[in-house]
Amino acid sequence: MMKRLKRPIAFLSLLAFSFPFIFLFILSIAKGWNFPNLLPSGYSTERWSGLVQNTGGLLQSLLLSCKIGLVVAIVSTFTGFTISRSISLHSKRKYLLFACYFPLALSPVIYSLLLNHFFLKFNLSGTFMGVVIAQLIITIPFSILLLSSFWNERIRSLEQVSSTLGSNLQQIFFRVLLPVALPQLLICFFQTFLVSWFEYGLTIIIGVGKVQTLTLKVYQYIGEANIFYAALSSCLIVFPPAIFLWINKRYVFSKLN
Amino acid sequence: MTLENTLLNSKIVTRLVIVCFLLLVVVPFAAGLMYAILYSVGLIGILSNGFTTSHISGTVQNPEILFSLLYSFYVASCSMLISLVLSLGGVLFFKSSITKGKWSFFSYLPLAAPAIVTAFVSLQVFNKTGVLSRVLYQTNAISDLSQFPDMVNDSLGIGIITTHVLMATPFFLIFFSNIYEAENLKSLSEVAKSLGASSTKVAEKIAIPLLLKKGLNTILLYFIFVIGSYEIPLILGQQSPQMISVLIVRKMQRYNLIDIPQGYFLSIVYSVVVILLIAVFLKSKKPVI
Repeated sequence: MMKRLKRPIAFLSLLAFSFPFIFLFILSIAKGWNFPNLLPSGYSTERWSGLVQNTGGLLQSLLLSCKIGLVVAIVSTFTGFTISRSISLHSKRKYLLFACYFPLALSPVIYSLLLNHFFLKFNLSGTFMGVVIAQLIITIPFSILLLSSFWNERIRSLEQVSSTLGSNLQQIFFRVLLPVALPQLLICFFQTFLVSWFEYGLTIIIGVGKVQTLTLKVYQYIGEANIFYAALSSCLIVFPPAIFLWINKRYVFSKLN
Repeated sequence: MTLENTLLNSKIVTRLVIVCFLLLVVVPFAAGLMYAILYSVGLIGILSNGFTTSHISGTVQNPEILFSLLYSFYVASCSMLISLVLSLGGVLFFKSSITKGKWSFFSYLPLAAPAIVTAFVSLQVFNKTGVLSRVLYQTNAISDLSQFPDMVNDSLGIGIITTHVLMATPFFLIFFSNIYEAENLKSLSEVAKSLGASSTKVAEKIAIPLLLKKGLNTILLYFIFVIGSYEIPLILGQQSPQMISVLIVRKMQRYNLIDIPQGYFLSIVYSVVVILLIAVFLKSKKPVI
Protein backbone atom coordinates (compact mmCIF):
# COMPACT_ATOMS: atom_id res chain seq x y z
CA MET A 1 0.00 0.00 0.00
CA MET A 2 2.69 2.47 1.11
CA LYS A 3 4.94 1.45 -1.79
CA ARG A 4 2.13 2.13 -4.26
CA LEU A 5 1.66 5.60 -2.78
CA LYS A 6 5.33 6.44 -3.04
CA ARG A 7 5.31 7.51 -6.69
CA PRO A 8 2.21 9.76 -6.55
CA ILE A 9 3.45 11.42 -3.35
CA ALA A 10 6.90 11.90 -4.87
CA PHE A 11 5.32 13.42 -7.97
CA LEU A 12 3.13 15.77 -5.89
CA SER A 13 6.13 16.83 -3.79
CA LEU A 14 8.13 17.48 -6.93
CA LEU A 15 5.27 19.58 -8.29
CA ALA A 16 4.92 21.48 -5.00
CA PHE A 17 8.66 22.22 -4.86
CA SER A 18 8.78 23.53 -8.41
CA PHE A 19 5.39 25.32 -8.30
CA PRO A 20 6.70 28.72 -7.09
CA PHE A 21 9.22 28.83 -9.95
CA ILE A 22 6.69 27.91 -12.64
CA PHE A 23 4.06 30.24 -11.14
CA LEU A 24 6.44 33.21 -10.96
CA PHE A 25 7.58 32.70 -14.54
CA ILE A 26 4.00 32.46 -15.83
CA LEU A 27 3.06 35.61 -13.89
CA SER A 28 6.11 37.44 -15.25
CA ILE A 29 4.95 36.85 -18.84
CA ALA A 30 1.22 37.26 -18.16
CA LYS A 31 -0.75 40.03 -19.86
CA GLY A 32 -3.60 39.97 -17.37
CA TRP A 33 -4.90 37.62 -14.68
CA ASN A 34 -8.49 38.39 -13.83
CA PHE A 35 -10.63 36.48 -11.33
CA PRO A 36 -11.85 33.69 -11.65
CA ASN A 37 -9.53 32.61 -14.50
CA LEU A 38 -6.93 30.07 -13.49
CA LEU A 39 -4.56 31.07 -16.25
CA PRO A 40 -3.61 34.53 -17.54
CA SER A 41 -5.60 35.99 -20.43
CA GLY A 42 -2.49 36.27 -22.61
CA TYR A 43 1.26 36.06 -22.62
CA SER A 44 3.97 38.48 -23.64
CA THR A 45 7.73 38.65 -23.30
CA GLU A 46 7.49 42.46 -23.19
CA ARG A 47 8.55 42.71 -19.55
CA TRP A 48 11.52 40.41 -20.03
CA SER A 49 12.67 42.30 -23.15
CA GLY A 50 12.12 45.59 -21.27
CA LEU A 51 14.67 44.34 -18.79
CA VAL A 52 17.47 45.04 -21.28
CA GLN A 53 16.28 48.65 -21.57
CA ASN A 54 16.39 48.84 -17.74
CA THR A 55 12.61 49.38 -17.41
CA GLY A 56 11.85 50.36 -13.83
CA GLY A 57 15.56 50.15 -12.99
CA LEU A 58 15.39 46.36 -12.76
CA LEU A 59 18.58 45.73 -14.70
CA GLN A 60 20.36 48.24 -12.50
CA SER A 61 19.04 46.45 -9.39
CA LEU A 62 20.12 43.09 -10.80
CA LEU A 63 23.65 44.36 -11.41
CA LEU A 64 23.75 46.05 -8.00
CA SER A 65 22.63 42.86 -6.22
CA CYS A 66 25.30 40.93 -8.16
CA LYS A 67 27.96 43.47 -7.25
CA ILE A 68 27.06 43.51 -3.54
CA GLY A 69 26.75 39.70 -3.47
CA LEU A 70 30.13 39.15 -5.12
CA VAL A 71 31.98 41.65 -2.89
CA VAL A 72 30.34 40.23 0.25
CA ALA A 73 30.99 36.61 -0.80
CA ILE A 74 34.66 37.16 -1.73
CA VAL A 75 35.51 39.23 1.35
CA SER A 76 33.65 37.04 3.83
CA THR A 77 35.03 33.77 2.38
CA PHE A 78 38.62 35.05 2.53
CA THR A 79 38.18 36.65 5.98
CA GLY A 80 36.31 33.63 7.30
CA PHE A 81 39.06 31.29 6.08
CA THR A 82 41.78 33.36 7.76
CA ILE A 83 39.95 34.02 11.01
CA SER A 84 38.62 30.47 11.40
CA ARG A 85 42.21 29.20 11.26
CA SER A 86 43.34 31.46 14.10
CA ILE A 87 40.23 30.62 16.12
CA SER A 88 40.84 26.89 15.67
CA LEU A 89 44.27 27.34 17.27
CA HIS A 90 42.98 29.50 20.12
CA SER A 91 42.47 28.13 23.63
CA LYS A 92 39.08 29.90 23.92
CA ARG A 93 37.90 28.43 20.62
CA LYS A 94 34.50 27.38 21.98
CA TYR A 95 33.62 30.86 23.26
CA LEU A 96 34.88 32.64 20.15
CA LEU A 97 32.74 30.40 17.97
CA PHE A 98 29.83 30.94 20.35
CA ALA A 99 30.12 34.71 19.74
CA CYS A 100 29.64 34.08 16.02
CA TYR A 101 26.09 32.88 16.61
CA PHE A 102 24.83 36.24 17.95
CA PRO A 103 24.88 38.23 14.69
CA LEU A 104 23.42 35.22 12.91
CA ALA A 105 20.63 34.45 15.34
CA LEU A 106 19.46 38.04 15.69
CA SER A 107 16.93 39.19 13.15
CA PRO A 108 18.97 41.14 10.53
CA VAL A 109 16.42 43.95 10.54
CA ILE A 110 16.70 44.40 14.33
CA TYR A 111 20.47 44.11 14.23
CA SER A 112 20.62 46.80 11.56
CA LEU A 113 18.39 49.07 13.67
CA LEU A 114 20.83 48.64 16.57
CA LEU A 115 23.74 49.53 14.29
CA ASN A 116 22.01 52.23 12.27
CA HIS A 117 23.24 55.08 14.46
CA PHE A 118 26.89 54.16 13.80
CA PHE A 119 26.32 53.93 10.06
CA LEU A 120 24.74 57.40 10.13
CA LYS A 121 27.67 58.70 12.19
CA PHE A 122 30.23 57.44 9.65
CA ASN A 123 28.16 58.61 6.65
CA LEU A 124 27.69 55.02 5.51
CA SER A 125 23.92 55.06 5.63
CA GLY A 126 22.30 54.94 2.20
CA THR A 127 25.54 53.99 0.46
CA PHE A 128 26.77 50.92 -1.39
CA MET A 129 29.70 50.60 1.01
CA GLY A 130 27.38 50.86 4.02
CA VAL A 131 25.20 48.00 2.80
CA VAL A 132 28.27 45.88 2.01
CA ILE A 133 29.77 46.48 5.49
CA ALA A 134 26.42 45.77 7.17
CA GLN A 135 26.08 42.50 5.26
CA LEU A 136 29.68 41.56 6.07
CA ILE A 137 28.90 41.93 9.78
CA ILE A 138 26.52 39.00 9.30
CA THR A 139 28.29 36.94 6.63
CA ILE A 140 31.76 36.93 8.24
CA PRO A 141 30.59 35.10 11.42
CA PHE A 142 28.64 32.78 9.14
CA SER A 143 31.69 31.91 7.07
CA ILE A 144 33.82 31.49 10.22
CA LEU A 145 31.33 28.92 11.53
CA LEU A 146 31.12 27.26 8.15
CA LEU A 147 34.88 26.95 7.73
CA SER A 148 35.85 26.25 11.35
CA SER A 149 35.27 22.51 10.87
CA PHE A 150 37.87 22.51 8.08
CA TRP A 151 40.77 23.16 10.48
CA ASN A 152 41.00 19.68 11.98
CA GLU A 153 43.93 17.52 13.01
CA ARG A 154 44.39 16.15 9.48
CA ILE A 155 44.86 19.64 8.00
CA ARG A 156 47.21 20.58 10.82
CA SER A 157 49.32 17.47 10.14
CA LEU A 158 49.30 18.26 6.43
CA GLU A 159 50.63 21.76 7.14
CA GLN A 160 53.35 20.37 9.41
CA VAL A 161 54.42 17.72 6.90
CA SER A 162 54.64 20.33 4.12
CA SER A 163 56.65 22.61 6.37
CA THR A 164 59.12 19.95 7.43
CA LEU A 165 59.57 18.98 3.77
CA GLY A 166 60.71 22.55 3.08
CA SER A 167 57.62 24.35 1.80
CA ASN A 168 57.42 28.04 2.50
CA LEU A 169 54.28 29.91 3.58
CA GLN A 170 53.11 30.68 0.06
CA GLN A 171 53.59 27.08 -1.06
CA ILE A 172 51.73 25.75 1.98
CA PHE A 173 48.87 28.16 1.33
CA PHE A 174 48.57 27.86 -2.46
CA ARG A 175 49.69 24.28 -3.06
CA VAL A 176 48.46 22.51 0.05
CA LEU A 177 45.69 24.35 1.90
CA LEU A 178 43.87 25.97 -1.01
CA PRO A 179 43.39 22.80 -3.11
CA VAL A 180 42.23 20.85 -0.05
CA ALA A 181 39.91 23.63 1.11
CA LEU A 182 38.50 24.46 -2.34
CA PRO A 183 35.18 22.56 -2.06
CA GLN A 184 34.48 24.13 1.39
CA LEU A 185 35.53 27.55 0.12
CA LEU A 186 33.20 27.21 -2.85
CA ILE A 187 30.31 26.23 -0.59
CA CYS A 188 31.12 29.17 1.68
CA PHE A 189 31.26 31.49 -1.35
CA PHE A 190 27.87 30.28 -2.64
CA GLN A 191 26.25 30.44 0.79
CA THR A 192 27.48 33.95 1.63
CA PHE A 193 26.53 35.13 -1.85
CA LEU A 194 23.03 33.77 -1.25
CA VAL A 195 22.79 35.43 2.19
CA SER A 196 23.61 38.75 0.54
CA TRP A 197 21.41 38.08 -2.52
CA PHE A 198 18.37 37.26 -0.32
CA GLU A 199 18.91 40.06 2.18
CA TYR A 200 16.05 42.52 2.61
CA GLY A 201 15.66 43.85 6.19
CA LEU A 202 19.24 44.93 6.66
CA THR A 203 19.48 46.48 3.19
CA ILE A 204 16.32 48.55 3.62
CA ILE A 205 17.44 49.94 7.01
CA ILE A 206 21.11 50.65 6.23
CA GLY A 207 20.48 51.46 2.57
CA VAL A 208 17.47 53.67 3.53
CA GLY A 209 15.83 52.64 0.26
CA LYS A 210 18.60 54.28 -1.79
CA VAL A 211 20.48 51.04 -2.43
CA GLN A 212 17.80 49.40 -4.54
CA THR A 213 18.63 45.70 -4.62
CA LEU A 214 16.28 43.16 -6.21
CA THR A 215 14.61 42.20 -2.91
CA LEU A 216 13.71 45.86 -2.36
CA LYS A 217 12.25 45.98 -5.87
CA VAL A 218 10.04 42.96 -5.10
CA TYR A 219 8.66 44.68 -1.99
CA GLN A 220 8.22 47.94 -3.87
CA TYR A 221 6.17 46.22 -6.59
CA ILE A 222 4.10 44.29 -4.01
CA GLY A 223 3.34 47.64 -2.34
CA GLU A 224 2.31 49.09 -5.71
CA ALA A 225 0.12 45.99 -6.34
CA ASN A 226 2.11 45.45 -9.55
CA ILE A 227 2.16 41.65 -9.32
CA PHE A 228 3.61 41.12 -12.79
CA TYR A 229 6.73 43.17 -12.16
CA ALA A 230 6.96 41.71 -8.65
CA ALA A 231 6.96 38.27 -10.33
CA LEU A 232 9.62 39.37 -12.82
CA SER A 233 11.86 40.70 -10.02
CA SER A 234 11.23 37.48 -8.08
CA CYS A 235 12.29 35.43 -11.12
CA LEU A 236 15.52 37.42 -11.28
CA ILE A 237 16.10 36.58 -7.61
CA VAL A 238 15.24 32.86 -7.64
CA PHE A 239 16.59 31.61 -10.97
CA PRO A 240 20.31 32.41 -10.47
CA PRO A 241 20.43 30.64 -7.05
CA ALA A 242 18.54 27.70 -8.54
CA ILE A 243 21.26 27.42 -11.19
CA PHE A 244 23.89 27.88 -8.47
CA LEU A 245 22.28 25.08 -6.46
CA TRP A 246 22.33 22.82 -9.48
CA ILE A 247 26.03 23.54 -10.07
CA ASN A 248 26.70 23.15 -6.35
CA LYS A 249 24.91 19.80 -6.20
CA ARG A 250 26.31 18.54 -9.47
CA TYR A 251 29.95 19.49 -8.98
CA VAL A 252 30.72 20.56 -5.40
CA PHE A 253 28.58 18.19 -3.31
CA SER A 254 29.49 15.22 -5.49
CA LYS A 255 33.19 15.91 -4.85
CA LEU A 256 32.59 16.15 -1.12
CA ASN A 257 30.63 12.90 -0.93
CA MET B 1 62.23 25.72 9.37
CA THR B 2 59.30 24.36 11.36
CA LEU B 3 55.80 25.60 10.91
CA GLU B 4 55.75 27.03 14.43
CA ASN B 5 58.48 29.47 13.41
CA THR B 6 56.65 30.82 10.43
CA LEU B 7 55.02 34.21 10.47
CA LEU B 8 51.56 32.82 9.75
CA ASN B 9 51.63 30.77 12.88
CA SER B 10 53.29 33.31 15.12
CA LYS B 11 51.42 34.43 18.20
CA ILE B 12 51.43 38.06 17.01
CA VAL B 13 49.58 37.24 13.81
CA THR B 14 47.11 35.01 15.62
CA ARG B 15 46.44 37.76 18.15
CA LEU B 16 46.01 40.33 15.37
CA VAL B 17 43.52 38.09 13.61
CA ILE B 18 41.62 37.59 16.87
CA VAL B 19 41.52 41.39 17.36
CA CYS B 20 40.11 41.70 13.81
CA PHE B 21 37.56 39.03 14.70
CA LEU B 22 36.53 40.95 17.83
CA LEU B 23 36.26 44.18 15.82
CA LEU B 24 34.18 42.56 13.10
CA VAL B 25 31.95 40.27 15.14
CA VAL B 26 31.86 41.14 18.84
CA VAL B 27 32.31 44.95 18.90
CA PRO B 28 29.40 45.79 16.53
CA PHE B 29 27.05 43.55 18.52
CA ALA B 30 28.18 44.96 21.89
CA ALA B 31 28.14 48.56 20.61
CA GLY B 32 24.65 48.18 19.16
CA LEU B 33 23.34 46.65 22.37
CA MET B 34 25.03 49.32 24.54
CA TYR B 35 23.59 52.10 22.37
CA ALA B 36 20.12 50.55 22.72
CA ILE B 37 20.48 50.33 26.53
CA LEU B 38 21.61 53.98 26.81
CA TYR B 39 18.84 55.13 24.48
CA SER B 40 16.12 53.22 26.32
CA VAL B 41 17.10 54.74 29.70
CA GLY B 42 17.13 58.25 28.25
CA LEU B 43 20.89 58.88 28.48
CA ILE B 44 21.24 59.51 24.74
CA GLY B 45 18.88 60.36 21.93
CA ILE B 46 16.85 63.33 20.72
CA LEU B 47 14.55 63.40 23.76
CA SER B 48 17.36 62.72 26.24
CA ASN B 49 16.78 64.46 29.59
CA GLY B 50 18.95 62.31 31.81
CA PHE B 51 18.37 58.88 33.30
CA THR B 52 14.76 57.71 33.29
CA THR B 53 12.93 54.42 33.47
CA SER B 54 9.73 55.87 32.03
CA HIS B 55 10.38 54.40 28.58
CA ILE B 56 10.94 50.94 30.07
CA SER B 57 7.86 51.10 32.31
CA GLY B 58 5.86 52.48 29.36
CA THR B 59 6.93 49.51 27.26
CA VAL B 60 6.34 46.92 29.99
CA GLN B 61 2.84 48.26 30.69
CA ASN B 62 1.92 48.19 27.00
CA PRO B 63 -0.08 44.97 26.42
CA GLU B 64 0.79 45.14 22.71
CA ILE B 65 4.37 44.16 23.53
CA LEU B 66 3.44 41.01 25.45
CA PHE B 67 0.97 40.04 22.73
CA SER B 68 3.64 40.55 20.11
CA LEU B 69 6.13 38.33 21.96
CA LEU B 70 3.51 35.64 22.56
CA TYR B 71 2.34 35.89 18.96
CA SER B 72 5.93 35.45 17.71
CA PHE B 73 6.35 32.35 19.89
CA TYR B 74 2.99 31.02 18.72
CA VAL B 75 3.90 31.46 15.03
CA ALA B 76 7.37 29.95 15.53
CA SER B 77 6.03 26.99 17.54
CA CYS B 78 3.26 26.17 15.05
CA SER B 79 5.56 26.56 12.04
CA MET B 80 8.24 24.36 13.56
CA LEU B 81 5.82 21.71 14.76
CA ILE B 82 4.12 21.33 11.37
CA SER B 83 7.43 21.45 9.47
CA LEU B 84 8.99 18.82 11.73
CA VAL B 85 6.03 16.47 11.42
CA LEU B 86 6.04 16.82 7.62
CA SER B 87 9.80 16.53 7.21
CA LEU B 88 10.18 13.60 9.62
CA GLY B 89 7.30 11.86 7.87
CA GLY B 90 8.90 12.61 4.50
CA VAL B 91 12.30 11.26 5.52
CA LEU B 92 10.84 8.06 7.00
CA PHE B 93 8.80 7.59 3.84
CA PHE B 94 11.39 8.46 1.19
CA LYS B 95 14.56 7.71 3.19
CA SER B 96 17.78 8.99 1.59
CA SER B 97 16.28 9.25 -1.91
CA ILE B 98 15.44 12.88 -0.99
CA THR B 99 19.07 13.88 -1.37
CA LYS B 100 20.45 10.99 -3.40
CA GLY B 101 17.88 10.12 -6.03
CA LYS B 102 17.60 11.11 -9.67
CA TRP B 103 15.12 13.89 -8.91
CA SER B 104 16.78 15.01 -5.69
CA PHE B 105 17.62 18.44 -7.16
CA PHE B 106 13.94 19.34 -6.78
CA SER B 107 14.19 18.89 -3.01
CA TYR B 108 16.86 21.58 -2.97
CA LEU B 109 14.91 23.94 -5.24
CA PRO B 110 12.79 25.67 -2.53
CA LEU B 111 16.06 26.70 -0.83
CA ALA B 112 16.63 29.05 -3.78
CA ALA B 113 13.64 31.19 -2.83
CA PRO B 114 14.14 33.88 -0.20
CA ALA B 115 11.53 34.77 2.41
CA ILE B 116 10.28 37.82 0.50
CA VAL B 117 9.63 35.82 -2.69
CA THR B 118 7.99 32.93 -0.81
CA ALA B 119 5.77 35.47 0.97
CA PHE B 120 4.82 36.99 -2.39
CA VAL B 121 3.95 33.56 -3.82
CA SER B 122 1.88 32.77 -0.69
CA LEU B 123 0.08 36.09 -1.07
CA GLN B 124 -0.81 35.24 -4.66
CA VAL B 125 -1.90 31.72 -3.76
CA PHE B 126 -3.82 32.27 -0.52
CA ASN B 127 -5.46 35.71 -0.89
CA LYS B 128 -9.17 36.11 -1.66
CA THR B 129 -8.56 36.27 -5.42
CA GLY B 130 -5.54 33.98 -5.37
CA VAL B 131 -4.85 30.63 -7.03
CA LEU B 132 -6.53 28.57 -4.30
CA SER B 133 -9.79 30.54 -4.32
CA ARG B 134 -9.84 30.39 -8.16
CA VAL B 135 -9.41 26.61 -8.06
CA LEU B 136 -12.23 26.29 -5.49
CA TYR B 137 -14.43 28.63 -7.54
CA GLN B 138 -13.78 26.72 -10.78
CA THR B 139 -14.57 23.42 -9.07
CA ASN B 140 -17.76 24.94 -7.61
CA ALA B 141 -16.54 24.41 -4.05
CA ILE B 142 -17.32 28.10 -3.47
CA SER B 143 -19.74 30.31 -5.39
CA ASP B 144 -18.67 33.66 -3.98
CA LEU B 145 -15.41 35.25 -2.88
CA SER B 146 -16.79 35.90 0.59
CA GLN B 147 -16.99 32.14 1.14
CA PHE B 148 -13.22 31.85 0.87
CA PRO B 149 -11.63 32.11 4.34
CA ASP B 150 -9.10 34.80 5.24
CA MET B 151 -5.77 33.08 4.84
CA VAL B 152 -3.52 36.13 4.62
CA ASN B 153 -3.39 39.17 6.90
CA ASP B 154 -5.49 37.12 9.32
CA SER B 155 -5.47 37.15 13.12
CA LEU B 156 -4.43 33.49 13.45
CA GLY B 157 -1.39 34.03 11.27
CA ILE B 158 -2.34 31.20 8.91
CA GLY B 159 -0.56 32.84 5.97
CA ILE B 160 2.60 33.48 8.00
CA ILE B 161 2.67 29.95 9.44
CA THR B 162 1.97 28.34 6.05
CA THR B 163 4.78 30.33 4.41
CA HIS B 164 7.23 29.40 7.16
CA VAL B 165 6.19 25.76 6.79
CA LEU B 166 6.76 25.98 3.03
CA MET B 167 10.26 27.31 3.68
CA ALA B 168 11.21 25.09 6.61
CA THR B 169 9.89 21.71 5.40
CA PRO B 170 12.24 21.31 2.39
CA PHE B 171 15.14 22.48 4.55
CA PHE B 172 14.43 19.91 7.28
CA LEU B 173 13.72 17.20 4.70
CA ILE B 174 17.26 17.59 3.36
CA PHE B 175 18.70 18.03 6.83
CA PHE B 176 17.07 14.90 8.29
CA SER B 177 17.80 12.94 5.14
CA ASN B 178 21.51 13.72 5.60
CA ILE B 179 21.34 12.60 9.24
CA TYR B 180 19.49 9.44 8.16
CA GLU B 181 22.36 8.67 5.80
CA ALA B 182 25.17 9.66 8.19
CA GLU B 183 23.77 7.66 11.12
CA ASN B 184 23.19 4.63 8.93
CA LEU B 185 19.58 4.48 10.05
CA LYS B 186 18.67 2.14 7.20
CA SER B 187 20.87 -0.64 8.61
CA LEU B 188 19.73 0.07 12.16
CA SER B 189 16.10 -0.22 11.08
CA GLU B 190 16.79 -3.47 9.26
CA VAL B 191 18.45 -4.95 12.33
CA ALA B 192 15.50 -3.88 14.51
CA LYS B 193 13.05 -5.38 12.01
CA SER B 194 14.96 -8.65 11.86
CA LEU B 195 14.64 -8.79 15.65
CA GLY B 196 10.88 -8.49 15.32
CA ALA B 197 10.15 -4.77 15.55
CA SER B 198 7.36 -3.40 13.37
CA SER B 199 7.90 -0.39 11.04
CA THR B 200 5.93 1.84 13.44
CA LYS B 201 8.03 0.70 16.40
CA VAL B 202 11.25 1.35 14.43
CA ALA B 203 10.08 4.86 13.59
CA GLU B 204 8.82 5.55 17.11
CA LYS B 205 11.71 4.08 19.12
CA ILE B 206 14.72 4.46 16.83
CA ALA B 207 14.41 6.78 13.83
CA ILE B 208 12.42 9.75 15.19
CA PRO B 209 14.25 10.05 18.55
CA LEU B 210 17.63 9.77 16.81
CA LEU B 211 16.78 12.32 14.09
CA LEU B 212 15.39 14.79 16.63
CA LYS B 213 18.33 14.37 18.99
CA LYS B 214 20.91 14.87 16.25
CA GLY B 215 19.00 17.81 14.80
CA LEU B 216 18.14 19.57 18.05
CA ASN B 217 20.61 22.44 17.58
CA THR B 218 19.42 23.26 14.10
CA ILE B 219 15.78 23.02 15.19
CA LEU B 220 16.46 25.52 17.97
CA LEU B 221 18.37 27.86 15.67
CA TYR B 222 15.57 27.73 13.10
CA PHE B 223 13.05 28.43 15.88
CA ILE B 224 15.02 31.58 16.79
CA PHE B 225 15.12 32.53 13.11
CA VAL B 226 11.32 32.23 12.78
CA ILE B 227 10.73 34.33 15.93
CA GLY B 228 12.77 37.15 14.39
CA SER B 229 11.50 36.80 10.84
CA TYR B 230 10.56 40.08 9.20
CA GLU B 231 9.63 39.90 5.51
CA ILE B 232 6.96 37.19 5.83
CA PRO B 233 4.91 38.85 8.64
CA LEU B 234 5.44 42.23 6.96
CA ILE B 235 3.69 41.02 3.81
CA LEU B 236 1.27 38.45 5.23
CA GLY B 237 0.63 39.75 8.75
CA GLN B 238 -1.93 42.17 10.08
CA GLN B 239 -1.69 45.43 12.03
CA SER B 240 -2.28 43.83 15.43
CA PRO B 241 -0.85 41.64 16.84
CA GLN B 242 2.42 41.99 14.95
CA MET B 243 5.45 39.79 15.13
CA ILE B 244 8.29 41.20 17.22
CA SER B 245 10.54 42.32 14.31
CA VAL B 246 7.72 44.16 12.56
CA LEU B 247 6.66 45.84 15.82
CA ILE B 248 10.22 46.98 16.63
CA VAL B 249 10.71 48.43 13.13
CA ARG B 250 7.33 50.17 13.34
CA LYS B 251 8.20 51.71 16.72
CA MET B 252 11.68 52.83 15.70
CA GLN B 253 10.71 54.30 12.35
CA ARG B 254 7.66 56.22 13.49
CA TYR B 255 7.47 60.00 13.55
CA ASN B 256 6.47 59.79 17.24
CA LEU B 257 9.84 60.25 18.96
CA ILE B 258 8.61 58.73 22.26
CA ASP B 259 8.27 55.37 20.50
CA ILE B 260 11.97 55.21 19.59
CA PRO B 261 13.32 54.51 23.13
CA GLN B 262 10.53 51.95 23.55
CA GLY B 263 11.63 50.33 20.29
CA TYR B 264 15.22 50.18 21.57
CA PHE B 265 14.09 48.61 24.86
CA LEU B 266 12.06 46.07 22.93
CA SER B 267 15.08 45.18 20.80
CA ILE B 268 17.05 44.61 24.04
CA VAL B 269 14.32 42.27 25.30
CA TYR B 270 14.38 40.41 21.98
CA SER B 271 18.21 40.19 22.04
CA VAL B 272 18.17 38.82 25.60
CA VAL B 273 15.64 36.15 24.58
CA VAL B 274 17.88 35.20 21.64
CA ILE B 275 21.00 35.12 23.86
CA LEU B 276 19.23 32.87 26.37
CA LEU B 277 18.10 30.51 23.63
CA ILE B 278 21.63 30.37 22.24
CA ALA B 279 22.98 29.72 25.74
CA VAL B 280 20.73 26.64 25.84
CA PHE B 281 22.12 25.72 22.46
CA LEU B 282 25.73 26.16 23.71
CA LYS B 283 25.25 23.33 26.18
CA SER B 284 25.29 20.96 23.29
CA LYS B 285 28.73 20.00 21.98
CA LYS B 286 28.20 19.44 18.30
CA PRO B 287 28.35 22.49 16.01
CA VAL B 288 25.32 23.15 13.82
CA ILE B 289 26.83 24.56 10.67
